[in-house]
Amino acid sequence: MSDQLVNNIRKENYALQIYTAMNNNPDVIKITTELISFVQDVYRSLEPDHFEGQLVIYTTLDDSILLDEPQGSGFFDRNLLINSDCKFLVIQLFQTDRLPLIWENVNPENIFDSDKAIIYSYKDCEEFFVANKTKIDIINRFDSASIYALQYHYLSEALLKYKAEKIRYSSCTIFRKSWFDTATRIYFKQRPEEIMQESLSEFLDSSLRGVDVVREYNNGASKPVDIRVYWKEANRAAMLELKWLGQSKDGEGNLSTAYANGRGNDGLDQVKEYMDLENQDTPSCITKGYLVIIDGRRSGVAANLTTIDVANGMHYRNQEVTFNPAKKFYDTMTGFENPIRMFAEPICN
Amino acid sequence: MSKQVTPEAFFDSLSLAHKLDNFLDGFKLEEIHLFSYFSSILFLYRKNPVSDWRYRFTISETGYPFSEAIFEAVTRHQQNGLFEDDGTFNKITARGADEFNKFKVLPTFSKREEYLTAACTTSILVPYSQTLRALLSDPEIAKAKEINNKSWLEQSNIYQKFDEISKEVGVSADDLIIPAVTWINFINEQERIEGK
Repeated sequence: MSDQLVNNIRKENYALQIYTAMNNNPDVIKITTELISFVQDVYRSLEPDHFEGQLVIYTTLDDSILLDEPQGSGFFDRNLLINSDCKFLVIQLFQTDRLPLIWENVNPENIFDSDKAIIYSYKDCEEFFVANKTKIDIINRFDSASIYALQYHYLSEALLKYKAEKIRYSSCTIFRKSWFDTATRIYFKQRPEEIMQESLSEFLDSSLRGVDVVREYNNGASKPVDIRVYWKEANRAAMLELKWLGQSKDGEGNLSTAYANGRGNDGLDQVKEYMDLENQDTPSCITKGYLVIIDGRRSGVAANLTTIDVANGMHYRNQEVTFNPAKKFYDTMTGFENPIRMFAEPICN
Repeated sequence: MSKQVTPEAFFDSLSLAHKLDNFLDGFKLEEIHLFSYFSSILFLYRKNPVSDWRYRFTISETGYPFSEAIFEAVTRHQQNGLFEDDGTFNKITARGADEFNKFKVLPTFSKREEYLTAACTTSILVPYSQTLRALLSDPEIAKAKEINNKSWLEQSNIYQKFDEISKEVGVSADDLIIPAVTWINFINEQERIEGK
């Protein structure tokens, strides 16, 4: 094995690096596992992507307390963490049967000099461990602020998988029913959104762990949310609004509703409304909003096409939807994710 | 009277379900087979004879390790209400957790806990999608998938490589968790090098 391969393997084995930094103390492996498990537990209630302060979680080999104890308090209610706007949030975990201690807005810089502490730190999407004063960087290959809070990453991953494996070639048997002409896929059926919602919600339900996926979720907005994903043990939710672009036909084969670029702007307005209401009514739940656009646009579509060539069929394949700058809430609003466009290809002659 | 399932498979599947449900919020039945297979490699790493694991694995059509003994045990747990089907994912019920706590203290089973725990702890220390990808790309599984081989998976081939890598990286032989993570990182790193 090359030295580089050995180094790379070591670099992401944080338990091994901490063990080495703590002079090969065998107890450290169990302590590190418990610390990381606790970090994951904290992230069930605190979304790092929304947290603007510094989070420090540490433990010491002898349970000595490194910050001023009277300033801290016993930590048992995870709701304390939800939507926290503290500049510093520090939690100490103990080896003995004792409640963890939490300090809010106490600067933890002194604890990093301890030779007895194993420390996890997060701030601004950067996370690292410190063990015996040695800094160990955490490598993050995920679309997520922390590798220990991957709920939304797995949702984004599932949406990309859905786009590539289910929508592009209409491979999903449910989604396929949304076409008026399944053999060519030029026109959607009239009101295909119900079928699309069913297809996406089934897919998410079978792809994500520990979630409830609800269609037509009513949160008091002018229209119900198309799909709501709720993590049962993580105080997280996602509101998904589904929009389609393209030409539809009614049961008799007459041209019916058509949606073009501007439909995306309507979707952005709706997601914003859902999020405003959700943040107001259920502040104890961390929520993100997603606009999913299923793009079935074709160029040169007339009333009675039975075939389509590549130039017209694929015209919009790489043409992103342009949004009104005033509606780009995803650039300014915490938790509003970038819209995801999924182009559904026709069968061209 | 129906015959008893293999006791070790009965316990292992219960223990793995308990851990995976706790760490991952639900589990797929094929993941019980996968983590049981990984536990058996750790068992060999500790110089135990593979026959003492008591059951063996082939490869399933979905590319996961598959053990008939585990399959029978899981079916029994479902029938007895110890596992509950939650759509694609399963949960261990309160009765299942009680049953696990009752059996885990028995000496025959308690010594297996170390291997089952180490295998599942990787899901805490390494993001689960990386763990899963690595375990399914294990060289023995990859070879069996490539040649569509229905014969037994040979953990002893893996064990040698596992041992060699652990030594090169500087892992203490007394511990199981660090070698388990090292093995996962090794497979993922190799996959990255090969651009998969």
